[in-house]
Amino acid sequence: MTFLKLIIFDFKITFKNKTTIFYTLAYPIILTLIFGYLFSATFEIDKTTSSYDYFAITMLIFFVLGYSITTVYFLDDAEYKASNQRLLFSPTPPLYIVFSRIIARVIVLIIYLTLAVILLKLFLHVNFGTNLFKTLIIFYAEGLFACLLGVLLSLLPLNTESIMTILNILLMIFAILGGGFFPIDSLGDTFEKLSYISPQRWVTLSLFQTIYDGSSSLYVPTIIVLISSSLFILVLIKILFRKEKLLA
Amino acid sequence: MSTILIILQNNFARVFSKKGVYIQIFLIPVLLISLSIYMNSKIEPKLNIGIIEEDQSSTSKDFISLLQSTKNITVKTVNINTKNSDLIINKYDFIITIPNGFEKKVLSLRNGIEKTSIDNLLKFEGIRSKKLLDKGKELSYYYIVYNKPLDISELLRNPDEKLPSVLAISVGFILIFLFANAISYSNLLIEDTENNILLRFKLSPNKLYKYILANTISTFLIIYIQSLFSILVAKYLFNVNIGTNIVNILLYMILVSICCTLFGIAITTLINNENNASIVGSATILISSLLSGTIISLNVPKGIDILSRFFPQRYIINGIRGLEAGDNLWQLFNSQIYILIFICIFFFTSIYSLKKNN
Repeated sequence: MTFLKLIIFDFKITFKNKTTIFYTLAYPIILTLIFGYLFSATFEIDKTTSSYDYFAITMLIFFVLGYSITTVYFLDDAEYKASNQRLLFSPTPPLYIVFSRIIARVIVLIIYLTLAVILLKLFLHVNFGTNLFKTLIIFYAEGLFACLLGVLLSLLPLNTESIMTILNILLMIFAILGGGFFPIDSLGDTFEKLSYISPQRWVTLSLFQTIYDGSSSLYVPTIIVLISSSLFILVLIKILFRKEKLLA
Repeated sequence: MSTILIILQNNFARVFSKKGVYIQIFLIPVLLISLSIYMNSKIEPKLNIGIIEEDQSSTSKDFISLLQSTKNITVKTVNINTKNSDLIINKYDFIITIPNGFEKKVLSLRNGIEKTSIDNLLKFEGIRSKKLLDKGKELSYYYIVYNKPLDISELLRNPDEKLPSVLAISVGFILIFLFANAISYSNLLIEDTENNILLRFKLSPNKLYKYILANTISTFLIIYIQSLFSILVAKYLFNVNIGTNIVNILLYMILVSICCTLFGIAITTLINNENNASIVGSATILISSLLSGTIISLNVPKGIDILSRFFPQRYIINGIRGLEAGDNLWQLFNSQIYILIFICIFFFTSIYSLKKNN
């Protein structure tokens, strides 16, 4: 019961958090609009595909992966410090605090992400495939992975600013190599091979193959990898977590 | 003066006590410049052709091997199951299907093939550039008729397109990094507010402006050290052509570092929350850098071009291009004036936010 109450409490806070709304809803839509417009002449032969179709997918993937940035902070957020202290003195198990926040964040991400997809589909007529739910599932799996990755990084013995800087640069490199801002495959074999290290590439490829070719050859493995990595990270979080972190 | 020096000393101690800061200052610029050099060496006009060979004849094999032996052309066999998505991600600029009966048709027409009949011999599929598809058709026609390789570099070159230099790409990446770091270092202001250090300072006989000035100077100095190190690494370690006298570029980077510093302070004071400042700041930097052509320079639509005038990165990069072309600082007067205007905007935003927060 306490666990559920904690989830509801964190959900209410996160749901109203402006940064979360901007990061999961506003930014993907704004960047899709900007990039879609910038590259509107790209698909000049095939009029059924537009640059908005390409960038809506890549931007959503980029920002869902970037959701890890918001969770890097959430254990030692100053706003939570007082409530953390009270909870730690109560009989609530410390791991409840962490896991309730993770669950709340994932639920909020799912809600805003679904809303972003619906808005993009309604107003920009973005092609998310015939089975919208299938497309959303991969976003959700990526969101879970990103959320847990952020928490794991926050438990590393490094200061938060350094983690943030490194994570920001890594996300940018992953996005570039994953074709987030422009197609990387056109740059040749070397870049194509280099792009294999980017998780964004695999999610992008599996989504495009599902939407445009109806092929699930990458879709299922990508989901399995994302879910199993998330479970592995969850175990690492349980091992590395120290309740002192909540008071740092 | 001693108060400012004490704050400076204290801020430096706080920043440099963190392990990751040395990676940020000394390792990341080297990595970014290496990446820029690598990217620049790889950016050249290329044609990626996907092939579906239905007609397994010697003529079709000759045609494919001619394409393969052509410099700047990459030929890949198309995976039918992922054909559409491969076109979307631009794995191929277009796909050529060699249909059954291709050899027969070529042999019967060899002396009388017209350019317009190429569509009857081969099937071309593309979704992106019509220009590239037409060039592909032209090339295929030539190879079928003359059966010998061709130098296609001129055919692919777009006279309107100017490829970015190593310096422009490096500065583009480093600029994003400097802006992001400025926010990270300016977070000391928020830390002080949260830990009530600012309150203690205000209750002391010291003037608030000294606190703001000292914080601005400390962030500026760290940002300038980073930009200085990056330029020196680019010039002396990687031999990047920086065109102008190095003193000019180092002086110019002072202005750039002030701009980055005040941007960082403006964002942190506006948002007044360490976490949110980093998140909103990094997204703002990303969007503005993309729009102002910091990462990739494009022939952008007019609307975006007008929008990009509202971001300092556009003028900073223009200045760098000028310095690279051999201009001196006087010749970059316009760029510098625009950067100064942005500095003033960031400065007054910071003052306004600080007063409002207090």
